[in-house]
Amino acid sequence: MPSSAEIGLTAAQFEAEFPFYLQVGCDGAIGRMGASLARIMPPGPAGFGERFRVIRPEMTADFAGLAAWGGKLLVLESRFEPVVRLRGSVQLQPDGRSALLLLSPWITRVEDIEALGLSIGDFGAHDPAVDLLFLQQSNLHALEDTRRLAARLRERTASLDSISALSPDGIVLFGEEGRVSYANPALGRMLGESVSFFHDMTEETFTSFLVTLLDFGQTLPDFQAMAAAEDTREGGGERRRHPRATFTIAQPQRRVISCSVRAREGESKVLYFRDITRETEVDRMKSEFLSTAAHELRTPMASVYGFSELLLKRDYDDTTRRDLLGTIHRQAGALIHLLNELLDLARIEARAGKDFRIARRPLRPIVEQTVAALLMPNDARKVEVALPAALPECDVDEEKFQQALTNLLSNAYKYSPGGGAIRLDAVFDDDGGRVGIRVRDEGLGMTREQLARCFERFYRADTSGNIPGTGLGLALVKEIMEILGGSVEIDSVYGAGTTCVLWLPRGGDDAVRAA
Amino acid sequence: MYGMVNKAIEDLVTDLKGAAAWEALKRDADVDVETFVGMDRYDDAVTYRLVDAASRMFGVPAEEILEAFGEYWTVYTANKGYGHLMAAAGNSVFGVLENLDAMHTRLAMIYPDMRIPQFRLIRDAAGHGWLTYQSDRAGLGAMVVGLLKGLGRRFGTPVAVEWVERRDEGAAADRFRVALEV
Repeated sequence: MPSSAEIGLTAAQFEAEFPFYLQVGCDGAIGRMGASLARIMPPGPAGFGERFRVIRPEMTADFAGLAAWGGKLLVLESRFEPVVRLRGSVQLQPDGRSALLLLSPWITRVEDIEALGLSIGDFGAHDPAVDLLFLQQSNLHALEDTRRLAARLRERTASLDSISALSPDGIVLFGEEGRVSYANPALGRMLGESVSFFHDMTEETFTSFLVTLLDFGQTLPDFQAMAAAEDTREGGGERRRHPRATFTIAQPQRRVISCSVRAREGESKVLYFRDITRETEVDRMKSEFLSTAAHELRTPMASVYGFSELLLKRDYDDTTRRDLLGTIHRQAGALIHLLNELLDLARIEARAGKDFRIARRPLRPIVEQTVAALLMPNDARKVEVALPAALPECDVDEEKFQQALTNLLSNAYKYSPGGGAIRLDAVFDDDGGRVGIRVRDEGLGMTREQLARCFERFYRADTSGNIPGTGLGLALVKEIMEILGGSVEIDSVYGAGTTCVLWLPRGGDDAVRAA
Repeated sequence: MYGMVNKAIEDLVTDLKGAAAWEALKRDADVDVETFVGMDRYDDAVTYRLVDAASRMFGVPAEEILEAFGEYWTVYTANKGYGHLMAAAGNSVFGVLENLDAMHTRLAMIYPDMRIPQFRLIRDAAGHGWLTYQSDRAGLGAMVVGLLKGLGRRFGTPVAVEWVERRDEGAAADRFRVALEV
C-alpha cells in the first residue's frame, strides 16, 4: 500500500480533479474553494452557514457539524442564486482546524450546465456527473424516438384501418393466440354477420362457421396448408404470387369467394376474401358468348361454303342453280345481319352512348314512321296503331329508338306465325314521368324460363330453327333503351302472346297526355 | 453509424427537397429503412450510400455533400435536442473544440459500440487552432470542415478552415488550420 506521500497531489492537480472543493475553517468561514465553484458562487459573506445549508444529513451548517460527519455523504444547497445542490463528502484536515468538502454539483438536466455558466471542461475528468447527464440525454432521445415511432405506427394503423374499412374485400386477422383480433366491415357483409360477431373467435370456430355457409358439394380450402405454403415462399419479393383458393358459399347469398393467406410461424395470420362472383359469371358468359357466336356464324357460313362448292363442282340446270344461289344469298344476308347486330351491340357497349345523337323530339311521328317503314315479307297483317292524339316529346336518338321499336315489331310478326293482331299503343306510368310505347301480339308467347333469358345474347326462344333471327335483337333493344335513360319491359303468356313496352322519360312540361 | 447521423441526412434532404425526394434518394441508395432510429446502429455502408445518392441528386461531388452535412449537423443537433449538449461543450469555437474529445470519450462510455473519432486541438501563438482529426472511418474529413464552419455560425464567429494534411493523400491523420475571422 503506498504511503500518503506517494498518493499526494500537488495543489494544481487537486484543483484540476476537484474543481468544486470547499475548505471550511474551524471558525465556520470559507477558506479556499475550487475554480469551478468560484465561477458559480457570487461574491458575498464568508460564513459557510451564510452561503450554504446542509440538506443531508440534518445538521447545522457549521464546522462542528461538518467535523462530526467526516468521511460521509453530504448534500448542500446554496443560499445564493442560482440555487445549486452539491454532493460529496467531508474530510477533516489532519490539523483538525479545517474541513475539506470534496463536492460536485448535483445536476439533473444538461441545460443546467449552461444555466450555471459552466461547460463540461469545468468538471473533473474523473467525475461521472456529466456522463450521467449524457446518459440521461440519450435516454430522452430514445424516448423521443419511441414516441416518434409510436406516432408513426398510430398513423400507419389509422391508414390501414381506413383502407380495410373501405375495402370491398373481406379481411380477418388472427393474432398470435389464434383468435380474431380484427375483421373488417366487408367481411361482415360478405358473410352476413356483424363485425363484432367475429371478435375473439378462434380460427377453428371461424372455419366451422364458414363451413356452415358453404354451397352444396363445396369444401373449404385448408388455410393451414395455404399458410404453410406461403411461409415457404417468403423472400420472393413483391412480385411473388400468394397461394389462392376458391370456394362457393350459399349463405347469406350465393357468392364465389377467392381466398389468400399471409402468415408467418408464431406470428399473426391474415385471411383475405374477395368476392369474385361477378368475374366468374362474366368469364362464364364470355366463354358462352364466344362459343355461341362461333356456332351462329358457322351455320350460315357452312351453307354458303357447301352450296358454292356444289355450284363449282357440278353443272346444274338454270332453275336448280338459281335455287342454290338463292340459298347462298339468303344465308349470306343472314350472316351480314348477324354481324351487323353484333357490331351494333359492340359499338353501343364500347361507346356507352357517346355516339348517340340525343335530341328532344315528338314521339308520335317517330313511331308512325317506324311502323310505316316496317316491311314483313309474306305477311299481309298491318300493325294496329292506337296512339293518343298527342304524345309527349322525349329526349331520344331517333334512329336508335326506331331500331329498337323495329326489333320489337319484327319479333311480334315472327313469333305469331299463326296470325293474330299486332297492336301498338302508348302507356303512361302512374306519376306520368315516363311514357311507354307498347307492342302486343297474340302469338306463341314464352314460358317463364324463356322470359327470364330473353335478353341474353344469342338466346332464342325458338329452338326449331323455323323462325329466323340472331338472338341478338332484344339484347340490342335493352342496350339502346338503357342508354336513352329508359328501359324495356316484357310480359308474356305461353301460347297467348307477348307484350313489350319501351319506356322513355318524358321530355318536359309541354307533353300532353291524351285522354 | 448511429441512426442520428442518417436521420440528420434525412432532415437535410427533406428540408432542401421535400419528403418525396428523400424517399427517391433512399430508393436510389438502395436503403430499405422506413425510418431511422437515432439510438440504433446501422451499417456504415448505409450512410456512405446515402451520401453518394445525395451527391447524384444535387449534382455535386460527395465531398461537398459531406461538408454541407457537417455544417448542417451543428444546426440539426441544436434543433433536435442536442443543443444543451453542444452548449455544455463550450461557449466558443475553440471552447467546444477543446472539449470535443472529452465529450466523445464520455459518449463512448454510454454507447460502447460507438466508434468515436479523436480530436486534438493545439492553439498557436497567433491565436489559430490546429485540429487533428483521426477516425477509423475513411473519407469523412470534409464533414469536419463543415462542422468547423457550422460552429463558427453557431457562435457568430466566421471561421476560415484550411485542410492542411489529408489522410486520403497519405497523411497519418487529417489536420486543419482553424482561424477565427474577427
